[in-house]
Amino acid sequence: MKKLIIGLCAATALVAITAPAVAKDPIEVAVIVKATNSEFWQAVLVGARNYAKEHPADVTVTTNGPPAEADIAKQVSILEDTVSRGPKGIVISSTSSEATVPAIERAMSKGIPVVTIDNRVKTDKVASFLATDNAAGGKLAAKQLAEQLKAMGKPLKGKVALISSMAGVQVLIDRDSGFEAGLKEFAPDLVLLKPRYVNNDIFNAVNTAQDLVLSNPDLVGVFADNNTTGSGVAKVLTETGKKDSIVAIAFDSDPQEVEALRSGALKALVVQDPYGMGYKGVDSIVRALAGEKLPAYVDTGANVVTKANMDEANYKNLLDPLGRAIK
Amino acid sequence: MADKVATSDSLGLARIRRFNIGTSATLMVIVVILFVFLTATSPVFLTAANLSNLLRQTSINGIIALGMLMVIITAGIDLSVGAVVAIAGIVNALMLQAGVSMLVSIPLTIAIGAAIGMFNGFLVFEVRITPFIASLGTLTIVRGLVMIISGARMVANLPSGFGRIASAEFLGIPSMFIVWMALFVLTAFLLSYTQLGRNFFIIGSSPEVARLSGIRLRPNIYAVYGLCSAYAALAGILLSARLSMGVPTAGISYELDAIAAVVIGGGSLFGAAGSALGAVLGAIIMQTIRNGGNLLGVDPFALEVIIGALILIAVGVDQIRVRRAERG
Repeated sequence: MKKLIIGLCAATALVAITAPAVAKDPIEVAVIVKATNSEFWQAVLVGARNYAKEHPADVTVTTNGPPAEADIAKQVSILEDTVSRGPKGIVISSTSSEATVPAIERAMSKGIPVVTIDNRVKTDKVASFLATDNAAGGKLAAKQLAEQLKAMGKPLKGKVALISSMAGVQVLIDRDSGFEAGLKEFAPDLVLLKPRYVNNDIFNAVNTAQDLVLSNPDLVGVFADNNTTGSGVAKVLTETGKKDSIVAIAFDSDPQEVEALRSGALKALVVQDPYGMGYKGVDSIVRALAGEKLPAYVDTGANVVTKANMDEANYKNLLDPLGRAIK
Repeated sequence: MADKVATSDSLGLARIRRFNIGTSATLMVIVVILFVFLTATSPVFLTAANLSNLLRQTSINGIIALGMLMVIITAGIDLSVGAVVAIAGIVNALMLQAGVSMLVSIPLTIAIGAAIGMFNGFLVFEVRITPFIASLGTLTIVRGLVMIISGARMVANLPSGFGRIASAEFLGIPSMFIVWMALFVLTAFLLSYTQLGRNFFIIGSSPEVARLSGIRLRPNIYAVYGLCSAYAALAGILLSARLSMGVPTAGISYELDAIAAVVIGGGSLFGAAGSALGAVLGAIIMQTIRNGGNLLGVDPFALEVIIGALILIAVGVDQIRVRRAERG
């Protein structure tokens, strides 16, 4: 605690010293993502870059990250190099919850505020933590399922299937347990079947959805907890002609899911806001450098997109964050 | 010399055939037990809709397993089949998107698959890398290539005629199953009635004997890995037709399901054992358990334990039976 106070004092002092300079030169914020090969992380970078483009006099953004998410060592060395180089602030989505802790603590002690996004790291020496509350997202999916059934004039009775991409992944566990809790709250008479796991294999997802639809004539809803399972469920409901009798809600967004939302095979998508993570991440650094006290945790929000609102600007942006890049 | 080879050859084959009929009979009994049990416990199991689903679900692994069988008979292994499934789906889908007719794109994709298999054959025969490591390297290379070619994105919006390849039915029988059965007949014929098939068995029992018998290893090794990958490429094309898109992450760990089907079907990783009928039944048994597990809502983790145990029981029982038969 003492260390933290000293660190904070040091950081504030540093900010105070450098503050006059800030007004002239734009501050450099380094943004490090988990992987550069995924649309999700590209969306984070678009958000961060857009912030810099909207505030050209105040902020410049440099971006970096390993090519693949599995490359933890690479990300750690990227972070270490960045800390040595000394930008004014760092925004990082750390793949490992532990491996990056020493470098993050070193940056903080050097007076470089670090904002973590998406994944929590095991230290409280960060300026702020921004992430999606996946459990809240799962709950939203359950609420949406109940509302859509009501809107169709159906009683909230029958079975609901849960097709999960993989067992043992924390983010998915949060989504699924959030969904289960939500179902108990919003539609306690719906019976949730045991989850089926499909190893993130879309063929497996299709096969499993086929089996569940066939063996449960009283199935009224399906929750698919990522884009692979969502696309698989949509395909089966379209093929079997059950897209109007079974309400399917899925997480994430990809072109197949968006198409399914438009066709009605999926009734709603619960999407995160990676763009917001990047944008707000850089904004948090700016505010930290200005001496503002940031909240320890910020929920960047999970949002429900339906056929009815999918063409509104806000939701369109959530479905296609890459399209928001300022040229 | 020629006489001697012919004698040991036909003797060996006679022995293999006798055992394999026994293995297949055991597997038939397992299939019947599974079907009776599931019919009794699930009202939808023995319906036309579910059986049609089941056949479609099994066909992909069933086709890959037939190719894997031939490689395993030569005492080899091919871990790259799942990656070939993915690259075939993506390459074919990209060609279709570019407006290439599927009459061109499909044979071309199968040829690309065969070429990847030949590369395995090259590594195994010319460079003398053990098949396990050779195909592991190929798996990794091909997975990387798939991501580069596709930009890690799915390839969708394919012509609707392509999807119909997988959804079509003839007299109520799914087309995917018909393709699988055609390959089954082809593979069974190749293994039992052609010199190439006999060579696979002899190479599997001893490459040295094969060499001394005047069998040229090079063309046979290239052929067996080429065939295996060509089968996997065909499976990849069918899978992408089933999903109406090329999926870069398709086929992950499919090699393990294929190996399991072959081994349940009486194949041995020591080579020179196994049959096409056995591999077909092995694939059916595995998918029937998964299908039944879904229909009955069996705990998914318990289901994995059951499938694993079944692999061991099927292989164990068969081993005991073969040893008894050998003792006379």
